[in-house]
Amino acid sequence: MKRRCGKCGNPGLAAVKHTIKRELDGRTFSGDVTATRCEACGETLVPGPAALAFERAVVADLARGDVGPQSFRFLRRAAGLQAARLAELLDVTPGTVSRWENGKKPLERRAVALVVALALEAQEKRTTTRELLERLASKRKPSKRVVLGLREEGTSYRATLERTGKTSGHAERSMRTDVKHPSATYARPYETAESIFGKEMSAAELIDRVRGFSWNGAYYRLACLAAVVANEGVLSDRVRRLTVDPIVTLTGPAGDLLARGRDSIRSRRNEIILAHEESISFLQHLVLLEGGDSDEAPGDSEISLWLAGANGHLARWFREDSESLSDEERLAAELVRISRFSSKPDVLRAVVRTRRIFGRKPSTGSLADEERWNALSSVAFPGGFDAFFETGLGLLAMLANRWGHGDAKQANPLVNVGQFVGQSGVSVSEFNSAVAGFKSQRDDLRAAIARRLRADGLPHSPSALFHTPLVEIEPDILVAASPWAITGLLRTGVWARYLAAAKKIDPRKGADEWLSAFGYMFEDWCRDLAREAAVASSHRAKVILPSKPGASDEIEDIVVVEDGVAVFCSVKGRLMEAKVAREAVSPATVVEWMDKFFFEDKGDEFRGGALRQLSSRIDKLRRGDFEDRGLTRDMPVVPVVVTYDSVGESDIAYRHLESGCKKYGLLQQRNVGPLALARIEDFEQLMSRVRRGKDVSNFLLSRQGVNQYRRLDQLLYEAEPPSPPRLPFFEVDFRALADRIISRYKLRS
Amino acid sequence: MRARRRIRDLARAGRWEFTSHALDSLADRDAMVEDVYAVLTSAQACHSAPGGRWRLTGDDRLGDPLTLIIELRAQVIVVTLFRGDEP
Repeated sequence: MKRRCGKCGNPGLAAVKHTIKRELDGRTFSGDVTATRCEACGETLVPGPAALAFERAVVADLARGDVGPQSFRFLRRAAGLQAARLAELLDVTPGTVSRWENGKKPLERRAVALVVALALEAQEKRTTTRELLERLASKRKPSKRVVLGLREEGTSYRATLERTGKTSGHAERSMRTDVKHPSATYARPYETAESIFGKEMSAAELIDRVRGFSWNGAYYRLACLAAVVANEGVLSDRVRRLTVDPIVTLTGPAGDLLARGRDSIRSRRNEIILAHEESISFLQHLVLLEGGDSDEAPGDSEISLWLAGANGHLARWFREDSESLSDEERLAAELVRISRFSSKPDVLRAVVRTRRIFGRKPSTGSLADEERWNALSSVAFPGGFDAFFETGLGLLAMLANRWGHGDAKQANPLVNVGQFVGQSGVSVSEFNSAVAGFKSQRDDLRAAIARRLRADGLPHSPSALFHTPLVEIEPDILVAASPWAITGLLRTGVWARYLAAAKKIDPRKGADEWLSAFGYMFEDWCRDLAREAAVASSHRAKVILPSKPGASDEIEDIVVVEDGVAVFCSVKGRLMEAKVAREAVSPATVVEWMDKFFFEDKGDEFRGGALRQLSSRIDKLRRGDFEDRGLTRDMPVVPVVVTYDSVGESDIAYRHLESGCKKYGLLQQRNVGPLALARIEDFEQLMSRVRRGKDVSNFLLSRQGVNQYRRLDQLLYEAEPPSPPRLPFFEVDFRALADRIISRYKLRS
Repeated sequence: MRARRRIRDLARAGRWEFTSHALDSLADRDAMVEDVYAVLTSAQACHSAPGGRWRLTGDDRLGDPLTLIIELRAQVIVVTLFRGDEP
């Protein structure tokens, strides 16, 4: 049928170029499309799909970060969100969203990032970020009983919703979403002085207030607060009583601001978050740098004010590098940085893990040689590793888990060394030797902090206390910065001490030798876990390990075969240096690290990025190289990268890796399930599932549909809340360690 | 009912167009192309309008009412759009 003009009915239509335009924040977006023009009446008709594509291109361009008030509103509408609903999801008032959109209040980067993510996801008909925000905003109490829809299939069980196409024959798990992992709180925005009082606290004001109080009193108060926040949770009522409620009691000449602050607290007290690891740590560094020498320690209300002020100065990169990165890369970098803070590890497992990984030589490599290992160990720990761990760090980590709890005997993070060792079998010098690398004096810390100051005089993402969290506030009186910092030492402190010793022994090659040895030590630990998982008589999964790490019979570092599916686990011991993420140098630094870690091409299948190596192993499987080991060439595979350190697992990171895999042609083989990034804590839980006869392959394959890009720790938690059972040896080891510590500290005869 | 179904089917098949006036008025009506598409494919009411046109009323993606005036030929042509009781 010949087309006619929609306006006048004339059949004379001509194809013409038409420019679609949209103005936002003074910028004009334009795009040429082919339209039709009526030769009789002059009406131009623009195809709807072309107009749709133009609008999506505008969203994609705005996602690069140039977002002003009108663009923000445009993105919100693109995300399909009412202003009031967005306010609920972001935990701000509708008035705040309104002021963002009419330009009366500066846009917050976190809000922009989330709205961009929501808009992009809406275009792709996905809802990962929105669902997470909806769950966070729902404030539902977790069900005490969670019933999962399991279906019996022969001797196994499967949770089923619908069949999925990517890996045939496997079902999507019906995950309950009313059980929330604590890490989900990372997406909550925290409050600033501007959002509470209506006025930002400048760097000069914050510094001035800090100078008015004693540095050691302020540091101690902040350490006590950190203990409560770390062990009771950012969202706990006790934390709100300590940090939010005191704002109501503030007095001073700025009556209007204080009245507004009181109104904020009264209207949304239970939504306000002021204290978290990053803000407390930032203030501790600021106090060490600028605190006064008076006798006066700040009260709760003063610290609350500092927290609100500090929050307005966080979340900044030293360099933005925004032009070279896509919006997805910048978001991934931001989430990597955020994920370094406020984690709450299982201390029992962390202590046992540290003791087992670092307390023995690697099974492979140059340091497997007894003599070389002893030489390194004796430099790192002159009194022996056991004495170091049982006298110092192991004990401190156990105590740190109790700090902040009101009913604990040792509720405060303070160690009076004389009283602490008292009449025990440990001498003051032995204790001091054990904590030598982790304690510091104010002057040393000040020098370290002063090296990375911003132009406004505030420290930039300081990390001095991350390395040396025991501050000697008076002779032989140590105050630990936070339980976070102490458990952080379990992960990195011992590692760093070995590294320093290795450099001392061989300044040229020592570091490389240690890094290689640690890779083997970490793999040895993962192999131990796999063996523990495989010993149970009830297990349905088969675990395949090479005769030793890197041996010629290696299929992958660890392979779990279950229900006809092979789970390929590639174990990586590399740590993300503080300068990459915690110190927030630039988003590009984070993205470069990730790309190198996952995708680096070193020319062969044995070296290079984690995903290159994994993909080459799957190529071998597909070639039939492992058929003599019982692995058929066409069997479904789930790739898992097991890491010692967090690599910032997030939905955005997964999407970034997926793009990278497509770009480099990795993991694109047929029947390859979704990539999983498993921190060692997650891998321990996966092995616990194997040990208890619970499915692992189906669990990992269930990360499709709404769960496709979700973090493994959250899914593991939701599968077995509130705390999935540990592998049994953890408790046995922990009790034995506790007995040895008690024995060391028992009274001298 | 038949007109509404026809409009929905044409829109889903990608056979829908804007007059330049309708496209230019999107910003003034606080609407996006996606909202127009949402109304075309899920309108709640469709009534005949003067000049052989159709008046299609539905909710945009934010749940706010949006009315389209359309021509229904071999393709759907969005002639104009407005909010609430205008014009």
